[in-house]
Amino acid sequence: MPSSTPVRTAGACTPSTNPTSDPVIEGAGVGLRMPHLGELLADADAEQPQLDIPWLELLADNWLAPGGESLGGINRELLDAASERFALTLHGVGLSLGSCGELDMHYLKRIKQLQRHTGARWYSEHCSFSWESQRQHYAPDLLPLPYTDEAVMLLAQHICQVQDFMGEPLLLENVSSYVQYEHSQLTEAEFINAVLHEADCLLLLDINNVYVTSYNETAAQSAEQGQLPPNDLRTQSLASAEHFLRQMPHQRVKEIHLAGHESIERNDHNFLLDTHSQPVCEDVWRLYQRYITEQGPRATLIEWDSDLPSLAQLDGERRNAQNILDECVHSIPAAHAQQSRDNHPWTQELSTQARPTKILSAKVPSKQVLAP
Amino acid sequence: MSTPSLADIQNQWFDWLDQDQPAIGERFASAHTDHPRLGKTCLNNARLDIYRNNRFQVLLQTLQQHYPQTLALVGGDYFKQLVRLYSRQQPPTQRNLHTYGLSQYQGLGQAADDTTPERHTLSFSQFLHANQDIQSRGLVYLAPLAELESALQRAYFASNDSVWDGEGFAQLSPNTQMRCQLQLSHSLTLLDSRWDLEAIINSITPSEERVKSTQKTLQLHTGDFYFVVYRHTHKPQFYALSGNEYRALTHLRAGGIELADWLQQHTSAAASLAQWISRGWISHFIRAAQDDPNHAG
Repeated sequence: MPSSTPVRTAGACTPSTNPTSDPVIEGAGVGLRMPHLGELLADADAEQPQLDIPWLELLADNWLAPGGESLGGINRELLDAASERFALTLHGVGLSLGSCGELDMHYLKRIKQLQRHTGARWYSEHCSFSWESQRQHYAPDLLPLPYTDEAVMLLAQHICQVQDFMGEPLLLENVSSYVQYEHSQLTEAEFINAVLHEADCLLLLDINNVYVTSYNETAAQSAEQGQLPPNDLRTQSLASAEHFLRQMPHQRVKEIHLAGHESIERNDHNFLLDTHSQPVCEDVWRLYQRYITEQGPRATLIEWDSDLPSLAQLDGERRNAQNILDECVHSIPAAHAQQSRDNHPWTQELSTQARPTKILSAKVPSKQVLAP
Repeated sequence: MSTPSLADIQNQWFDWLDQDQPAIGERFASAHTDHPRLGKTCLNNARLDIYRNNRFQVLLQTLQQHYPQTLALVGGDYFKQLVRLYSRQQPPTQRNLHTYGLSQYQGLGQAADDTTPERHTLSFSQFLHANQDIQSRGLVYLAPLAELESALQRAYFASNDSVWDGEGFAQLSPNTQMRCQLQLSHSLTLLDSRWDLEAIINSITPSEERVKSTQKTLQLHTGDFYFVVYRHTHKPQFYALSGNEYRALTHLRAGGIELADWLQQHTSAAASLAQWISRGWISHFIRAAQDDPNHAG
């Protein structure tokens, strides 16, 4: 039987005044998933916390349920508890930056409310589309864009609108892909460079996605030309992923995602599925370590979405990333590290002032300009 | 090779996603130059099917979470078939799936900009009601059960209520109290059914004691049954009502009735009033305009 305890009153929507409203995001964090939240909060409140997780990423769409003034719905208390104890970032999947038609400013407004409420340090979204504007249907997936000049301009225009509205740079994440378009005019690396340059935004570099895409492309090519032995396939995929990573605009890389994937074999055709249901694989750790060693530390996040492990296991993955970051910091001489950090916009304070609307030039990025 | 526009490509993707036959994936790799095409390296439909399967799995999981009792009743395989049909008929029209498949939700999104307008034309329970296969199998209680589950989900996502101001109400004069209008919780839904949904749910998920003592058989009692669905703290729940209680609460939900008139018309419900307030079913009161010191008139 219900008790006579009244349902709590939702307060007015006001910006958070919690002490973490302007936190520094660095080191290795984890994606916050509800089954872990109780344990995370209990540990944070313990006299001697066992975990040392410096920051959490909120999957923004999970906190946009209707009701409760849209700020986390009835889970608002949990949201407030998390934002009081942890530095946060916001990661979205529903904006559909690459869709033709207008951006959903209503959705974006709710993202902004959520960011203000939680004090989340930045907002990231994906280089993909999931909304079809003619029939107004949504696909809960990250559908790949063709790497064309038209897509560059559309994506850049939408990112500029987001940045103007949010008053800060957006972090764009590369997605994993299982298909390629015949009429792509650019490589994926060229495409990302062009978009980041046009929109003047930052990059959330998902190294697992880079590896999954590289593997899938290599496997598809080898299926046509004669199946490669598994070891050769892996070696070539790793080389392809390294080549991709070398082409990234490193000064724009603000955050790195790491996750696990699954290997699928269907009709004698191998591919990797970006499931976020496994530990980070050895090859992705290798790519990450090399990237961090060469380019310097970046805020790093372990994503794990399905078949959730215990928080202890998830924290084990996070500590692996943290150890790599720590080794990198210790191996760089202090003067060099300082110089390196000063040269990186990611170490600079993100502007909280709205920038003037960026007017896109008519210039179309070309392969020649972007080729290394 | 002509390059299709981005809009065409996206339109084609959704054409393909909205169809159910995996073989349609060949369309992308066909020789038709006027269609957006994927590279020759992707002739294998398995790659394309990842996207369609991803979408279906997300929608399946969403409806599994929204309708766990319906799922338990019909089993995973049949539920999957139903979701496949439903998702084809009713693809998501919102970026937020929290309300996918639910009935039109009243009382949600009290703030004007809380949610984008829900454009579902058919909820999952309405779909079940209209599905001929379900009806021919005699599963006519499935749609009412799903409607109850839909109400539970709506209760979960309902706006928070204000706290009943018992002190403020007590300070009013008896006459002023009688002119007040009582308001129901945002989370509250009233349902009537010819099936005893409580018995059905109990026989689907029997309590530990019942498992020990009785065999699990579906209890299908017909008659006039009434239920209230509401949220207590964070947990949605339902409660069986008498016909009189149902009518009394329905009258309050309709609004516009002063407490004195309501008590006169629902004398048997008056005894339950304090209990309903304590349960949070009645969440606040509105003073009559002439009694409200803040009223401009």
